[in-house]
Amino acid sequence: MKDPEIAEKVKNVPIIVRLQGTNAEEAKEIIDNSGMNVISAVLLKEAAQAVSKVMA
Amino acid sequence: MKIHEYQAKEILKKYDVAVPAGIAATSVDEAVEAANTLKKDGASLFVVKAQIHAGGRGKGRTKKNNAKGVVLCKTIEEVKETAEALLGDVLVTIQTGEEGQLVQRLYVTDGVDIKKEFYLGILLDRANSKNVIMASTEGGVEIETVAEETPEKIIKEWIEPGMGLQVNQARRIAFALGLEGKALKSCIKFIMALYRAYEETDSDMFEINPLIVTPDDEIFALDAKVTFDGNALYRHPDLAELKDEAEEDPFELEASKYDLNYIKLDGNVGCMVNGAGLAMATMDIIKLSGGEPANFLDVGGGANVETVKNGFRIILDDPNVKAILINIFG
Repeated sequence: MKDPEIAEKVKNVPIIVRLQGTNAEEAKEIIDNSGMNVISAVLLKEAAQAVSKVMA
Repeated sequence: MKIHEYQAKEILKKYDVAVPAGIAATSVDEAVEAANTLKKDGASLFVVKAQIHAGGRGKGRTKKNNAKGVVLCKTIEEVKETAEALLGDVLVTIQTGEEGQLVQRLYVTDGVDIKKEFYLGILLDRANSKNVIMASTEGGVEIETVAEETPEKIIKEWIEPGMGLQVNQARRIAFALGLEGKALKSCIKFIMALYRAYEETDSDMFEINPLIVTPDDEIFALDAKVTFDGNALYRHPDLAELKDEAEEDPFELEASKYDLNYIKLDGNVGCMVNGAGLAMATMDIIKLSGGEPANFLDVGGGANVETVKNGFRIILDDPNVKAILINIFG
């Protein structure tokens, strides 16, 4: 998804993505290697911890 | 879907439910013209009512001019002054919250004399899976307070699905309100017509507060609050047109354009989830993680790049959002 307007706004807002289901591990790898400022998780617990960390 | 009082009264008129004469106005000139028309038809008193999608207008005050949301006027001049004070100002009532709502329209009505005030409402009693008519001799005041302090003063009649409202039920209600003679007969007719209107418009709620009896024993709906079942609007295109976009939350209005199931909240962590149940669980997780949900957003099973993009845009347009949690299970 390439949208300059959104990309600009997203720079200041941490995004935590939890993807679970078929090919979840592969999806996590793609996101982690994308260079985007996105924290990815597979378990909801991990996503929750990431949110806590960001909100602290 | 909510509608304004003046729109609700138009619907009631179509179903022969007695309402006082009234004309909507969006400018001071229109308000004066409305009052003059009502005067020609015999009105000697006028009530100018702010039209917003919230109750409690009578006790509410506008921010700039400190005007009341409902004003009784004895002359055309008073109607003009009231219209000047109300239009364009923001009305704060117990139901609008501190921000209040902008008054862009008024309803100028015939100020009928009031002998008695009652409460009459029709809604779905979910616990009993039946429509229920609620009535009370305590009209014109907050029914929630009556329910809390003197619940015995609320009369209820449940309607059997498949049988509809029976005349003896309407009679029981009118009788319990202490009416007799001409007023009793008029009230029975009123209740039967009101119920028909409620059913045929597929409404969630009809609230007449106050339902009044005049010194001549005539029955009128002095106020009318109508909420349509949004899921039934597809078969009522004429009613769907009554929507006032100015009264909708701008974020939710924007989201509905892209078929996004979005509700704006006032927290700091935005969320985007596929599935309403998972979305609610995600909002719980956000709270447990030290944040407050900024919104509810269910992108559903049919999400595509466009819907996700627009979902993102709407969440990011909210200045309160400090982080976004996306939870997709698939």
